[in-house]
Amino acid sequence: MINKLINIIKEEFPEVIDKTKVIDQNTSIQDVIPFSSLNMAILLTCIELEFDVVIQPIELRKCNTFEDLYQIILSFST
Amino acid sequence: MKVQSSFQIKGIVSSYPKQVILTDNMPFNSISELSIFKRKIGVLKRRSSSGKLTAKDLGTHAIKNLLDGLKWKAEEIGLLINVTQTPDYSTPGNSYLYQKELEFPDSCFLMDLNVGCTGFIQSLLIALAQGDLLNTSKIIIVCGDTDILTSTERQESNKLMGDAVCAIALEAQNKLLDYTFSFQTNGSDFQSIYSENSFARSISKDSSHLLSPVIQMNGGLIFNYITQIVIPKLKNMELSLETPSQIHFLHQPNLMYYEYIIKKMGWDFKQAPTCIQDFGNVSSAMIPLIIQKNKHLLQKNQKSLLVSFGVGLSFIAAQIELSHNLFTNEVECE
Repeated sequence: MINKLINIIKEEFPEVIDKTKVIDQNTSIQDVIPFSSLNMAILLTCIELEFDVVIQPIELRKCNTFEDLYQIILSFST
Repeated sequence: MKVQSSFQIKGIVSSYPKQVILTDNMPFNSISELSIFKRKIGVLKRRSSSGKLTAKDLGTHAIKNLLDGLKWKAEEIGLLINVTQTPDYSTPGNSYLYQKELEFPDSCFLMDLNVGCTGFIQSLLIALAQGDLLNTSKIIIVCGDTDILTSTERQESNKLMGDAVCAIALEAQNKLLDYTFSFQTNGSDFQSIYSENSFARSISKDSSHLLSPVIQMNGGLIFNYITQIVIPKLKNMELSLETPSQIHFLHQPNLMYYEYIIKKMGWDFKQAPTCIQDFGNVSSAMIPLIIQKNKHLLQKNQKSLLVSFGVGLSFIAAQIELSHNLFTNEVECE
């Protein structure tokens, strides 16, 4: 499931994420996607569409790694 | 909410500045930021008055063209509803200025609404209800803004909002027509989209801010509103409709939220035309502008769903039958 999340985010940000770069659960999100207001809105929207979960911007800001984000999605899913 | 009214939309004229601002020429921190903006916000170009034309100027051109096109006389208008967040003066409202310039009769009922993106559909509901009450046969709605985010010192930062005003004509028919409306208002989140430094609240603090009515937006709260209110209300409304809507004229605060709503509702993108690419977010003028630009989609006996949301926060939708014989036109102003 976390691979699904990573792939979705890769697809959403082709301009900033190098396709050849290896991204895993421990990768820092902000290292690959700057948390501008637009980028955060894109993340929140694609997460809602794919996982049916509404995350608040403040919760997104707390995430360091992709694993952190995945855990938040899981916590809202249950 | 079911509404019956003898009034039907007969014409729409859009008016916008001649000056085109290309997003490619706007300042961005990087090429990738520009690319993401164009792909997700969707604005490729927009019209700007650069402070030279006000909403009232654009509205005057639109109303004149509409009256000429329909062969209506100003003296026949019994109700004029003006919708703008950028009036020429804080008081009186632009409707009184239109009356003076276009010579609407002194019996014309004038109304000014300070409303954002939902303004056209809100004013439509008011017009349908008030028209019969006022015993008039012809109504004009004029809606839109200019320089909404662009006080002079902030023009560089505005990449989203475009300038446009639409004039809409309604005429009484010999029969009652069926309309369905749904709306929700949420004043408790008014700070999600608001202009802090303007009007009386600001005067009491520091009048020097009055020239900077820059609108602030909280994207997170707006997205919450879409997911928690707009989508459920639309789904409930669709369930209550006797006839499905063939065309969806949907407000586009940005391309991303537009696409999100279409996907969540399971609508066909081909039946939900856009205009944000060429005009940006034009607030209350957006729905009539999209209709005017896509008149070719209208067919006889076809239901259209108009949907808007924004400042307030507020949401409103209306299912209406738009005539394929609608008079439409557009005016470029400079």
